[in-house]
Amino acid sequence: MKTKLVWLAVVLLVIWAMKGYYSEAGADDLWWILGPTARLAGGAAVSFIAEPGAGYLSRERLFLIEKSCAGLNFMIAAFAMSAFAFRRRATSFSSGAIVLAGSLLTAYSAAVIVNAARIRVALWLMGHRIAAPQLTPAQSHRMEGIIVYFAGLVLLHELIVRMQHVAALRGRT
Amino acid sequence: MKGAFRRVGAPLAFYYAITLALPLANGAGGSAFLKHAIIVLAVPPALILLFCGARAAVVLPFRRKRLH
Repeated sequence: MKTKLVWLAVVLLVIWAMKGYYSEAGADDLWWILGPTARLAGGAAVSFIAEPGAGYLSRERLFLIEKSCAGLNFMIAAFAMSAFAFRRRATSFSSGAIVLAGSLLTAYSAAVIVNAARIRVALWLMGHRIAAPQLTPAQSHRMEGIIVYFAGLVLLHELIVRMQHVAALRGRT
Repeated sequence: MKGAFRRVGAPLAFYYAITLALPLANGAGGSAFLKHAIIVLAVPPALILLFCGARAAVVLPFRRKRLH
């Protein structure tokens, strides 16, 4: 019980620290998440170049991946959800640390992949102009963000549930 | 429908916690945040309903066919 409470306190502390870091950080400080996201979102057709102080810019598409597009809020939500889903595995300080590190890694990977997908969808929407006419570009971008991030969280949750199911089946045999 | 909402309960709760509860706890407010909050609150359930509707439209006729 004591271990679980300490572990929960650490999880909340990590969330609070990440949120605090995000509010203070500039685009240059977020290279560790913006860089991989820009590389994954770009491809043969679109290339993103680091713009000091601004983020990653695609000159040909006039698309900037800035601080607010870093996906850190998604990463925090994914971390909290993963830690919650794996909470039963945190039975000691060492297993708690492993679950914490695993949840952070899962959240980071999910954030990069989902955010890159969101940027690719945004670039595609920009090129095809299929958004609802009553929405401004900013509103349709926000709407698209809500849909992709929420769907990303649902998919991540499904993945975790299935992984736990497989682990439980292996444990029985 | 209930099952779908139960299944996405955890992601929905964490999504709302990070996008709405945390900013509110940090003092966010005002009409701009309220507008944003309404959209954030409404879109995920609408998405779930849309998914359930689409799933029912695709899966139910197929199941009926197999039963006959």
